[in-house]
Amino acid sequence: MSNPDLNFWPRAILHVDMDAFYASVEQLDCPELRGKPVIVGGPKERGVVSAASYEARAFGVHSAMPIGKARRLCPNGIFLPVRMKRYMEISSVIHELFYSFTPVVQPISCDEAFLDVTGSQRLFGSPPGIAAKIKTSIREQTGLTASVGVAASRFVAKIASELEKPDGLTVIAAEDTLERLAPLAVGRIWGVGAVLEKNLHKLGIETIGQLRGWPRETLLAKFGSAGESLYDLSRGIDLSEVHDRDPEKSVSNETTFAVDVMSLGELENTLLALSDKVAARLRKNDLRGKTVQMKLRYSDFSTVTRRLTLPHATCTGTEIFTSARELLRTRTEAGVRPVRLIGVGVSGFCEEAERQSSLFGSLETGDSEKAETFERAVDQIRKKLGSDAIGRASQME
Amino acid sequence: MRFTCSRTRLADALSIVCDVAPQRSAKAVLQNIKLQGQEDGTISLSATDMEIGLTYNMDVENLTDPDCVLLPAARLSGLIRDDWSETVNFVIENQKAEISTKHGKFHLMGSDDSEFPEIPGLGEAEFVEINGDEIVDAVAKTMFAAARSDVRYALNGILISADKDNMDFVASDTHRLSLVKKKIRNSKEIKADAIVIPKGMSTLARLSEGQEGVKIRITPREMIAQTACATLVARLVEGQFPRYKDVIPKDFDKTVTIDRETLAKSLRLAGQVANEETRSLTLSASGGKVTASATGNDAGDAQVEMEAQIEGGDVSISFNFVYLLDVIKVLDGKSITLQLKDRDTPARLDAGDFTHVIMPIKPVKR
Repeated sequence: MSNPDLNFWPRAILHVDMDAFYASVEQLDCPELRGKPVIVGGPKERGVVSAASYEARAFGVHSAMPIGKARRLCPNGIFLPVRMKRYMEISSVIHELFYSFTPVVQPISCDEAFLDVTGSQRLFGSPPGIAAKIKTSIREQTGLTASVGVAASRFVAKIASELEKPDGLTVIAAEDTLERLAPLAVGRIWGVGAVLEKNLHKLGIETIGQLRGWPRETLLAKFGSAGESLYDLSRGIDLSEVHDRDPEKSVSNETTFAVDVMSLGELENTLLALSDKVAARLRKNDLRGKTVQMKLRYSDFSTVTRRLTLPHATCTGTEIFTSARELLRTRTEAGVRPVRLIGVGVSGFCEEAERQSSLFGSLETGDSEKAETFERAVDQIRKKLGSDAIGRASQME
Repeated sequence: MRFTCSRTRLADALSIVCDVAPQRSAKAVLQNIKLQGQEDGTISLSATDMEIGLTYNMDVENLTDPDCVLLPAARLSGLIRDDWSETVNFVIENQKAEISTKHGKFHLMGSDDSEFPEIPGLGEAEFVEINGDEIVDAVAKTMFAAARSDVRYALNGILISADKDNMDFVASDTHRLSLVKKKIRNSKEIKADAIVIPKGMSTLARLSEGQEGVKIRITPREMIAQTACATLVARLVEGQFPRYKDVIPKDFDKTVTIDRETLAKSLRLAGQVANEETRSLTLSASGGKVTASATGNDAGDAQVEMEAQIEGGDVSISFNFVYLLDVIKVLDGKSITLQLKDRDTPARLDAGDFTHVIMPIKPVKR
């Protein structure tokens, strides 16, 4: 095996993943929590686990698990609410730090990113060296640990970062890729969900190495376009680029109530607040979307999504809310069945150069042009005077 | 019950009645038509999908022992349509129909009518009467402008509004609006509004063709219409129809007159390169010519020129060309006259008792 440290890599991708991020931040801010099972999530007994410290993971607790279940598995765990503002503070420090090593950074979430460091080797040395420097910088600047995977593609880098968590640094050089991937479970491959994994198991394919034994034609015939990607990824072939910023496909926001809600009025009030937040984000990113969707989760966890397409693309809270409210009133059992979560989103982004005007625009949904001018003015006021400076009268406490 | 009737006349009646019966329904009973013998020697055929209900009366020969039975709508109309005999004989016994023609003999299992919804008749209350062909005309000129699935349900129907001697037929999808004013034949000082579901209006038009007078009554929940041989009940759309009179502008300073067929051909031609979402074409009138142009989209651009009579100065406004074609299709004059003002004012077309307005397409400010 050649020493990857000494060679120039024709393509070098890093995947940096913070270890148990939210829980680690809590342990950082509160030293007496260190070494103890910390579970972040909520709100209260409802909602799900957002992060679990490694001490909590020993009890079988993992993220996305309902809090109630986590409490049963780990009764002595320390359950804390999500302090998103604090996590975002640290997240921005970390992302800032990434950019000091390369301009090509693709944030996946607040605690995870891909970095393309191919062009950074002359300045900062070999990719494994850069990975070590990043780990050190993160520890120095935030006191937290990250696991980093180094490889020639995004897919393999991501697999590498998972192999030695926490505080790992795993290098899979191009020439070692096949060998390192071979023993891993096929479920680790991108796009292999529970169903596909089961179907692969039926064919006797448990590991990536076994998958590699199947011809491309057979995989294509059995799995369609997914077969193509199985064939490539099992060989570590992933030509996807590290995008500076993933183009957003939808903007949405949702909230879980502390107590199930029956009142249509309260649901609509929450929907208005969420619609305004979604609209503000659309305007900030200069987006307009045509499809409004509304999501409702009833107390028994059954979830419905309802959507409608507007005649034109919108970025106003008023229009998003009017549509979402109509969906809520006419196409759900809101007001009849208790609701634990409500959400609203906008998708179908399009660049509109022209817009069909409306005869009765100002009657109910409001003239969309006027609404946009108005809401952009509100954005400006909030930017200058803070987000509490101005709001809808109906949203005042 | 027994009777004999003309196959073609029965086939015609069934084609209208069976269109009312739903092809699929949670209530299986609705997939039947109700066949009822009357004491006066006629029969009635009824169907409903709970949105509209229709009872169609027809003369038959030698009706004996009048009775009532439900027969499967699709099967019955299929048999009567596809047979090629001149007459059909029916024998209904124990909810089973024996249908015999010169060419065939069929048995259809029926069922009793206890579960079948009652379809109300016109009753004794006040009604307005309108010439049938005028209704056909009004429906043709309004239906296309109705919304398909607007969240404002009222716009998904056709408004009929009676006021003294006139009845207004109105439809709008917010981008355009059609208004047809028809004379009421029996001026009764009735003031009534109803928003009727589209299927109700299209069925009304089908029944009205060639009818001297069609009686219409509006109740809080339904429109009931009666022709010489049929009674139609249509559910009303709840909600308030927007104040349509307020959005029809009266002050225009420009008119453009173009040969109808030339305009239609030119719009179709230029429209092939129009933006697929907005269907926007810009109509620019200047120097005795109107240019329809599509610009600024990925597909490419187009310019089509046509001769025109222009009064009041140059003007350039964009419209969804499909909306223009829709209204041209229902008009039959030699030329089309558009009244225009600016980008904020709808274009207006008038033809006799018909008025149509179309809102422009405007550039989006960034």
